[in-house]
Amino acid sequence: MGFNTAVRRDDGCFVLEVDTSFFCKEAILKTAYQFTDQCHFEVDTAGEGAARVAISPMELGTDVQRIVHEFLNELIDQELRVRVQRETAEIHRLIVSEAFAPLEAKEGSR
Amino acid sequence: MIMLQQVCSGAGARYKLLPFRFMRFDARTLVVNQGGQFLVLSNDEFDRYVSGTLEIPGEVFLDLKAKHFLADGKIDLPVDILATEYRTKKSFLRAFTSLHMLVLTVRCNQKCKYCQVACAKADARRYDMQPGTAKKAVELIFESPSSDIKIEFQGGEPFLNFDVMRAVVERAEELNRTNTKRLEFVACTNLTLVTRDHLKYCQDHGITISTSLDGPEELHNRCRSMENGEGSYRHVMRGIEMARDVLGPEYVAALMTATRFSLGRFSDVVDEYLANGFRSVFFRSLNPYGWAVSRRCEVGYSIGDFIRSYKEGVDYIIGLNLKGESFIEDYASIILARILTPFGTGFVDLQSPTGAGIQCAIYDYDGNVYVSDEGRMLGRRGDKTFMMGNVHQDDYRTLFSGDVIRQAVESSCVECLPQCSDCAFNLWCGADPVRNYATQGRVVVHKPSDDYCRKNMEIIRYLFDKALNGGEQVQDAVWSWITRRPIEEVSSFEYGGKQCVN
Repeated sequence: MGFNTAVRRDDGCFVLEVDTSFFCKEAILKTAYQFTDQCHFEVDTAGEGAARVAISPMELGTDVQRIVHEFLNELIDQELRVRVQRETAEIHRLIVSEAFAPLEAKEGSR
Repeated sequence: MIMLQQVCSGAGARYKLLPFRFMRFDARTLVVNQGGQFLVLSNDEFDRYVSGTLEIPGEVFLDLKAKHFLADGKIDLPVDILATEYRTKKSFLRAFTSLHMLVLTVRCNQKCKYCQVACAKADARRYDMQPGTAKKAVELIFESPSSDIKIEFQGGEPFLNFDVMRAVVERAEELNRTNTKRLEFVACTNLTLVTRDHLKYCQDHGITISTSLDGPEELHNRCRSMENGEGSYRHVMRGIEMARDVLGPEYVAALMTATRFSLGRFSDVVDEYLANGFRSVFFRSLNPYGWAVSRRCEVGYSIGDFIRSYKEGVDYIIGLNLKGESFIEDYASIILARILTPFGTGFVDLQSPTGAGIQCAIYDYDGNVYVSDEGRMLGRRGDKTFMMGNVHQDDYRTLFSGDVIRQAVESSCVECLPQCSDCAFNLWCGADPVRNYATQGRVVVHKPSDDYCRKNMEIIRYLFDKALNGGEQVQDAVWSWITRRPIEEVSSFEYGGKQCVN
């Protein structure tokens, strides 16, 4: 089971270390994107099996602690989305190609 | 918390997950599949669903199976059904461009504060469409493969160039003798200078009227004045009355544009519409074009303020519905039809891919062809990014399969856009690359700071909540909007869709 750590720096920024054996890069980036109207993000590798996410507010007075909590919850949902999408990708492709297949081709295949 | 390590069903799983998107919704989880079917699950039910641990055959399992969120056998049938549902939702793609707007002139006899076109003065005749340009445009329109053609006369004020309007109508009718398309005409007019003769012509040729009414007299006059500064309300009301008299009430529709003066007063707008015999209103926010941008400080507002007023307005209308008054908010009826019925709707501004170009096109007075009215508004400011070509220089194929329309389509599939691709609402929503370009300078916007996204997310969430949790009477009101039938008629029938929200 992976774990994340969040450390507050003296300058008010937070640095998260995310276990990449548990959360993929795609989920981390999608999560960060959702908060890019409020914070700046720096995403980097932090050695084997970990990613470092530095979160700094765009404006003074932003409650970064709250955003960190929301980030961590959202990260779980994004990871879940990535996994569901991987799981269902082939069926998704089948549905779309079936939906837009020319009628003649569909009739011919039956 | 979800047990992520157990998400994948894999070998030995008791059922397969079928594609879906999800969203946390009032401490529960909304799941929407590719055909637009939805369920709201408790978080625990959701966790058990995705981790493959649902009780079989429990109630939740059977609900999810019936709506094709999972399959415990062969997937051929659910794939076929989901494909059919998806195709139905995207049926607007089949018809190709059916709405063709002609800017007969940029001249206008009004001077509205939020004019998105930045109209020219009423005597500036160089801004009139010439007969040769109109003829070319009509002939191009009839090359569209669509079996439905709607020609919409826009301006400025289109009745200032009535001769060309007539030429267009008569040429279109002539061409349609051999094409036999379903042909419609709409004149978007401020109605302040129409005469009975104009309206008689409209009646003879089936031209319907779409006009602007922003609310009660003092509210309407705040932003909509004649060229000399006089408020236009009395002129408009005289025009509406005359148009109703000649054409019949069902052929005259009105639109409102919300300014900072109307915020918090949408109920007054509804009362004004009702008092004047209208049965619906479209609460339309300001668009980011023309004078609406340059006068933002004077007439604009934050999107949060608009959303608040929108909800108050819809709540007010539902209250009237529950007292037996039939009245509809048109934007809500579009969204609700998308959520609660299997069908898509033809609303150009909210499609995926965008309706710009493939559902509508606009022919400017000088023959330039744009993917949308908004593209034309940018063109008026000298930015031709969304210009597909010109009727005098380009043929149909060049215009409607060129780089401009392709880029508009490619950049507007919400299924592929950042954040939208994961959004549970995306089958009911859409993208507008022209608006994106106008607001953020790029066709794919930064979603977290996009007002249009925020507006649609909040409105869809609010309407979804009404349909889901509003109770039986509110659901009847909602269905009366979708079906455009009186509420008492709707409440006596058990629609399939009513069951789906219960």
